[in-house]
Amino acid sequence: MTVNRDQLIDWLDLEEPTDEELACMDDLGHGDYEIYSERLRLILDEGVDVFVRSGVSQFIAARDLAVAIYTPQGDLIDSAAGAYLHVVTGIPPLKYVINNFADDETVGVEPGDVFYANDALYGGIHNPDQIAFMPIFHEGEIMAWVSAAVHTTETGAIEPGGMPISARTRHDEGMKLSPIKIGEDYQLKTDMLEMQKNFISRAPRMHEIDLRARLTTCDRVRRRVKDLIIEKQGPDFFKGLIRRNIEESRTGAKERVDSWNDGTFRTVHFADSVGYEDGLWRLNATMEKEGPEISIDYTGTSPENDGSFNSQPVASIAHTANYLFSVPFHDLPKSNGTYDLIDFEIPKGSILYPDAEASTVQAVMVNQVVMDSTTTLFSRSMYDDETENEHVTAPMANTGAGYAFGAVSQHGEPVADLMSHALNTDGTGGQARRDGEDEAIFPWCPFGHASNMEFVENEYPFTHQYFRHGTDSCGHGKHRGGIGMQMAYMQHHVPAVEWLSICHNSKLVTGQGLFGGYPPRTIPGLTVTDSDLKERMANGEYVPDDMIELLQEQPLDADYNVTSHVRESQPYENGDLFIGHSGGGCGYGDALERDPEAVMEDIEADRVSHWAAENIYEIEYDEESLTVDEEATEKRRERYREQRLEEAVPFEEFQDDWEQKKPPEEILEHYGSWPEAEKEGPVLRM
Amino acid sequence: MSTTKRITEYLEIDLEDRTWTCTECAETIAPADENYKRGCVVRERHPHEVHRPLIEDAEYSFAPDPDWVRIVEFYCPGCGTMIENEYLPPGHPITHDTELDVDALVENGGSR
Repeated sequence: MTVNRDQLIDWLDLEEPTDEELACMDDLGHGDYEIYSERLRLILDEGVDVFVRSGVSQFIAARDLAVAIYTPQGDLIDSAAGAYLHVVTGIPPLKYVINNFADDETVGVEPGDVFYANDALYGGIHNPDQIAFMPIFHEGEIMAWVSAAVHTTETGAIEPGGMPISARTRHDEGMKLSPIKIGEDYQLKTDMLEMQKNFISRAPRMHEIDLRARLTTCDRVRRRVKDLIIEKQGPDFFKGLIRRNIEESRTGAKERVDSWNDGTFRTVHFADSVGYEDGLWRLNATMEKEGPEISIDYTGTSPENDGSFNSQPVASIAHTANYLFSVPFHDLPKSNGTYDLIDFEIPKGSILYPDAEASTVQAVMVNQVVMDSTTTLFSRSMYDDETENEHVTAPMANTGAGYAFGAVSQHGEPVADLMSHALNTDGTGGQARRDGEDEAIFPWCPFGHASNMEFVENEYPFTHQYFRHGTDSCGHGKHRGGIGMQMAYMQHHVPAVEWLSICHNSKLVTGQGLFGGYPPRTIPGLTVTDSDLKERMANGEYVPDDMIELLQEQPLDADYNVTSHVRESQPYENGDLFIGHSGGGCGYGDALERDPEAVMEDIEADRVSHWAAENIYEIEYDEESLTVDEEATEKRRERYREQRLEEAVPFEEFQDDWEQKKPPEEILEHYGSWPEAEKEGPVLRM
Repeated sequence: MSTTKRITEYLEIDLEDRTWTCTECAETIAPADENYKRGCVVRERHPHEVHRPLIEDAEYSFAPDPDWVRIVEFYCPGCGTMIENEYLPPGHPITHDTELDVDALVENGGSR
């Protein structure tokens, strides 16, 4: 391995601006920045539209992508997304090209060049996430770089769909390209295209279309920036504009962070899978915040493992962008000026910084705990009763219920994809002033949306049997988390379809509630096979459309298989149901403080159950009319508070008993030493 | 100048006494430079009390598995309000989640 991963982390910090850039920034006239920074953003937005119209895979249709522009030194200036983590992970591979290949006479950088990268070792997330770069030249000088990044459908790995659950080393993950030139003189090189299609033989047509979509997007943004800013206003104006954009991001974030409480904030989150098997591991995070500076230290996080649930360190840092750029800094330019304020300490040998040979293809699943943790750490620091606490929130579900399939479609075409519908329906967290949003979001892509189901069913060999609220799937609280969704894919048209799912949260949930709110329930996997479903449909008989009904009443004559949500690839036959569900957001505040009328509205809309109204919210009401007895509810809640005090014990007494407990040894194999989670030995990878 | 600084939904710091206090009942909970949880009363709960299993006696019940995680609830000793909770594997150390620079807070009258 040649890449220095500490160097990649350092590259997330801003390069020193040149005197010329600073002088150009000072020369901007009144209104120049305001007008042309907006023009730059509109150009990037146009890039997103071009990307969506040019591509074919689910993630492009869902706008789970990023279009960005960088300085000649490789710093992020601004972006349109989509998925903010992709703009952060554009920086290291671009700086790798700039620092290693630009002056190499066998490579070099010329007008019309196109570079490409997808190896997480060089700063990406995982190898399905693939990024194309192009330089913008003006009179022989590189003025900027543009990128187009998106998760791709297929990587040629040991399982279809780009995210093999059963991967044990990086060699199981399929195509991985270090930064490489794939285009010259504004042309995609035929030999480079052939090489990629050879890797991606499960879905070569889809891969080529999406690859060309990235290049089309880069070139559109390149031409627009050159024509509408650089040539219109001159290169010095452009240099000043991009430096000012970064400065606005840096100083805006700095002022905001400076106003939050100083101190040390800690979180601990737990997860239940390493990919090929269940196993407990933890993320331990400590955030030191002093004035405008923040450092986050992940020491105490569980060691790397021999499964697919590991992450490269840059990928973990990039996952904080999903929260930072969509919540506290949502209104600032998305540049790495923001990251100039934050230092990260990621221990080598941990699940966030494994050996270079490790599989990191499930990095997004690992880093859902980083997203949980970042949300909680920042919310604790920024709480302030002199504001409306607009950004104080419990974590989103962050479950990323990703379902990947591979098949020969009803049109005879090899197809493989990762479906976006469940991904885009996680509930958001309960907030300081309101409930979370129901079935709202793909936390990795705040502005994404699922693709059209009719389109999907026309192209792919399955139907959506149902798609509906997941009752009681939220984290309860004074302000409950948004609820998640439940759905079922029925295999149709073809003899069989291979499916896998990447989501964990089957034994426990990674999220923690905030200020007394509860996290949501677990979401294991369910499949229904060898059933009479199609026969019932043909006969016009009753067909179930609810997961809870399927689980509890088993109305179909079928095999019901309840498993971990992490499901390795296997074929499902025509008529089988592959069932999925997204998670609910975590709750905020003590559930006894929730407005009883809000609970009644939730029952009416099938968001929460009567059981929750009774056992969590402690409400006295008429189940038929949903009329609350306010006085009786108040008394019942008061009695329950008294019950809490009777059953609770002082901390010291609790601690004496608690410290004697320990989880069963069989679930601690991947945890590290108990309870410190220190590495106990080398990881052997076969 | 206010003598308290709100820190969470249910906790504030009394800047004169340098203590954590409950926003619901004004109960003094713990010294401000200590973990507030040490002044709470604590109850361990089986996860199925909060998350109803959708299927009984199953390896995956759609509720957190008590071998993997328990719920630890921290209440104000004065009024029983749940100030915080943690989902922890049995026996895992309790998190000291908020450790403020109390000297700076007192010095600045509650600002930052």
